[in-house]
Amino acid sequence: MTLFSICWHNMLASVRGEMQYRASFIMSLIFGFLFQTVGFIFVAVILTRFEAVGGWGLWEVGVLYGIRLTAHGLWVVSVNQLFRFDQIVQEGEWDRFLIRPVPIWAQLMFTQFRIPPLGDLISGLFLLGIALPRVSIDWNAGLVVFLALAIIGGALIDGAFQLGSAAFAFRFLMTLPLRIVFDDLQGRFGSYPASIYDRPLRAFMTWIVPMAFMAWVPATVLLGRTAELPFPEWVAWASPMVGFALISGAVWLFVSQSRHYQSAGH
Amino acid sequence: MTALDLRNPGLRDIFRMGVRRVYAYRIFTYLGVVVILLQLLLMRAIWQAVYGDQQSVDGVPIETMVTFLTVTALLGFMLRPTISEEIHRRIDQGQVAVDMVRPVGFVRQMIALSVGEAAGRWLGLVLVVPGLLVIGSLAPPSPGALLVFLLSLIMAYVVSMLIWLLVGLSGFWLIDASGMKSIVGVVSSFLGGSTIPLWFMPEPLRIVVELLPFQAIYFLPASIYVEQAQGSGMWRALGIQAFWTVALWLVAAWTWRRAQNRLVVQGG
Repeated sequence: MTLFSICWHNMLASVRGEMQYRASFIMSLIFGFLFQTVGFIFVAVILTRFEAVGGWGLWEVGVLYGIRLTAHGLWVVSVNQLFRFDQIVQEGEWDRFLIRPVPIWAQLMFTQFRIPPLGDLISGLFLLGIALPRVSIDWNAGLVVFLALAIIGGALIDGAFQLGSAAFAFRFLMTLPLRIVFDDLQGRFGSYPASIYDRPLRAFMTWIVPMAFMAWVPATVLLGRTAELPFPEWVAWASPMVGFALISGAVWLFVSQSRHYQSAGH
Repeated sequence: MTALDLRNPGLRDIFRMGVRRVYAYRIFTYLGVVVILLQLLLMRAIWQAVYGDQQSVDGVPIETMVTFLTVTALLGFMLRPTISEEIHRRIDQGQVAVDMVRPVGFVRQMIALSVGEAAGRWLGLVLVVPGLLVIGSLAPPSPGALLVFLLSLIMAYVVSMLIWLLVGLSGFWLIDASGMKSIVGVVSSFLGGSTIPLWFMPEPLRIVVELLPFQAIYFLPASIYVEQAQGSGMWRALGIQAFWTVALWLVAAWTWRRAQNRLVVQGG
């Protein structure tokens, strides 16, 4: 069997598995969608009451929110095994990853299909679909390519933090708290233009935990708001590169930490 | 389903087990505190940005808003869905069969465990609340408001427990009820007015929220604390909470009677 057909059969089998508890399967889907929708409704309610946050209107924040959510969804849908990575290391399941004749990246992506992340991706695309026509953007081919790259770059920024934290599981066995904190920061914080925060907070999310590059920076390019950035416009155009750079670092960290793996035995 | 009586030695031991459990997995309790503090910091930054230069919106000063959010975040920490998680685990592992032949009722065991867990968890607040008072996130209430708030807090606890008990009991029908738990978790905190108080909600949304029990968990106690609900508004808030306490109690008792006939024991 080719790598492709192995992965395909794996995914089909796991969807069938999830379908065993049909009511729960459907509810997980609804939950994924609802969780993210409620997040945006929060923003929408605030913006209908207060009209604008930091000069950004409802649908402009919608574009930003949509970019972040789609990027996040893209990562969690594709690399879905990191979610339970602590358990994989704790229970010695990593042994199996090492001996299977399939590359590790493919195993992290295609061993199992998880439903809730799909809700993130669907609601992100849904939100972009609603918000993009409601803001004025001078579309051209370059901008379309930029948006696609920005979403991929955003997914890689998210991924770099998930993979980078997971790397520590080899030594410390428990990394879930780290990832929860990052998810929380990203979800609550990254959904607004960083220009609304005061200087230390903004610097923190631009240079230390660079989630500003996930959505805020690309959104300023789309919406012609690059003037509010703390750096020149060409840096904003190069923002998708941040994701590629960070993920390379995370992969390096992951590989080097994996040498510290001690099997729990089977 | 009768009242919880801790003179019963079995229930007392289950209660203690609940308290101890919080400190057995204390890393998660501490993590919970860190997440709450982080969440508070961020919510504060967002609301300050929303307020912008205005000191007060609709008669609600920014300080009141910050305290409101702090109180709802603390309520979120205090009122956990332990009881539904516990019931689901027991159904999932087939443990429920053993639980049900014990001399004290199943629901009472679950309530004792989750009250114990809450007692252990609330102890952790001793560390957090003074800190919040010092950094100004939590303005101290007037003595009168504090007294009424404590009464309101008890009802909020009971309402939240009954809602999570119902979610837990749904496991008798659904077997795997984790999706149900997640949905109620998200819906209850948003529609409970924990992130956006009802006074800032647009009309249609506010009407929906007022018809649902979740405001009794978050919005009503917090608005009593910050004295946005005063005088007749305060009595109305307490009345709504009392109504949901009784109504949900009846629904839970009725559901439990039916759940016993739906029991499926998994595995062995």
